[in-house]
Amino acid sequence: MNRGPLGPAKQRASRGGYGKPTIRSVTHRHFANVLVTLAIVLCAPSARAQACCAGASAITPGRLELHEKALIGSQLRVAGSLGTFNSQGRFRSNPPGASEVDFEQDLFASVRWLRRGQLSLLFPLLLSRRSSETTGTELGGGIGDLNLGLRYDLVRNRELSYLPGIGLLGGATFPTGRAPEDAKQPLASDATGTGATQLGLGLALERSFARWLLSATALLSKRFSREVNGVESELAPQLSAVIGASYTVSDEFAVALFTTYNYEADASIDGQRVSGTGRRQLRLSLACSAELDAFRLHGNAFLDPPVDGAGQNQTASVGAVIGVVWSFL
Amino acid sequence: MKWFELRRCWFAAALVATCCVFLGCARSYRSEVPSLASISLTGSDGRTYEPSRVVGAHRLTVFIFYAAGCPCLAAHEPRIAELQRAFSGQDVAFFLVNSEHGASPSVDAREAQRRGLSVPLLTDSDARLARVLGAEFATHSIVLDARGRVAYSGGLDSDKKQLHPDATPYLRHALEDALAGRPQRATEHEALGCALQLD
Repeated sequence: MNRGPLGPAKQRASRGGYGKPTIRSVTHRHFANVLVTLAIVLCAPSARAQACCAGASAITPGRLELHEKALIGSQLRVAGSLGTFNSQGRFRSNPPGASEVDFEQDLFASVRWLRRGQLSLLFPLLLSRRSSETTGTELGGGIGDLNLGLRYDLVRNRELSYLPGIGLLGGATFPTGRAPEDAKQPLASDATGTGATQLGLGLALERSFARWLLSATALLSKRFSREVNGVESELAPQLSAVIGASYTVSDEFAVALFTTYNYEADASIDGQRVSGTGRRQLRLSLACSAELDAFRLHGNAFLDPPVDGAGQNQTASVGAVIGVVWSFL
Repeated sequence: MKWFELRRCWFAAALVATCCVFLGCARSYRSEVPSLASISLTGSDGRTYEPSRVVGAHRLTVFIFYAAGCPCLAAHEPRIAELQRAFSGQDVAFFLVNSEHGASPSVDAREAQRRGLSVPLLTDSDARLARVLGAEFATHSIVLDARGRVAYSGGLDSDKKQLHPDATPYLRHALEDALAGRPQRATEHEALGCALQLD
């Protein structure tokens, strides 16, 4: 019997008429959480010619800028499903009558430790509306997985002429959300977490050139195995990478274009790798950020390109994010 | 979750955190006793300045660190000019210092003219003055008395790049206290300008 990589309960959740997106959406949400956590801790503070950080804030709205001691913020994300990628990476549009709209409200806070470190916390609240021809429409949500992020800037951006800014990243995700196997709704719209504890380590590089800021970040996360209905299940390590460029239009306003790639290999059940269960996702985002003294407003529009090969075992979404950050010097 | 795996990860995280602490401490170290001997800087007015002599020749000397593209520094230029006017006739010398990598006297001279700087801009090509005084950020202001002692080291005021009328004028307070011969209200404050590229 092929129990699948995520346990019988999760498989059961996937058997509805529009079940597959349900499972994928959980990872999709988790991926979004990782992305936001990355956004909080990623980029180093700014330097002279990049107009004091506005460029980096467009990509990573929740980060502490140079000299900031703490910040709190909130953002709202809305995403609609365009379709799904199957295990071979082929894109399929949503079947007739099927739809999915996800809302996510993130509350986050960052505080400085030592002179070059940042500690961030992300608390996501999720809401999903899903429908299929066979099960009808359902609404579910709840608290997502809590994320804790650390960043330490070994070298600040433009601090050294011969090196880019270098930041060490660390992260932990705690399974505070509802795991897929615990979902009660037929399409598992009330599944809000992966169910697994994760620890991650990463590296962030950035460099500004006049008004341009280029940044690249990679984070590798280890997901610990867990028992689902008596079966040991483990997701493969996940690699999240963000590459972006931002342009500081004025001291207070910046725009950015960045791409995010998320990859994980096949999961394993009882120590056996299950082929065809890996995931990957490519996301393109166009963002902007505006500073109003102690407040920063940010927004972005994103798209998971609905073309073959751009994803695997994931939904493809289009959506937008809007948020506000209040920082303290 | 396997316990030994969790323990291994926490150990790695603790190791990284420890390294960061040591690196952070090492980078934040700076000399407490500034030695200005043998430092010679070219000013935007074409003159050569030796900080050790300049300091000895004035009751107070103020070095404010400069970065050409820093909006925080640009925003503070009127306040620097205002301070210079306020303390004129009290034997207080003001200097801007460009210690950034690649700084050149000719470029600084042109820039000083273009910006209409009222304070001489000194080119600290090898960043020796910045290192001796421990400057890391633009607008970092250091007040030295005639004996070369640091009376104040830190931000020009409590503003970053957006100026507020109710900002706390740290440098003004430091100068007033030093001239009045009373204890400093504060000898240090954080400088809120852009990071200086010294190497």
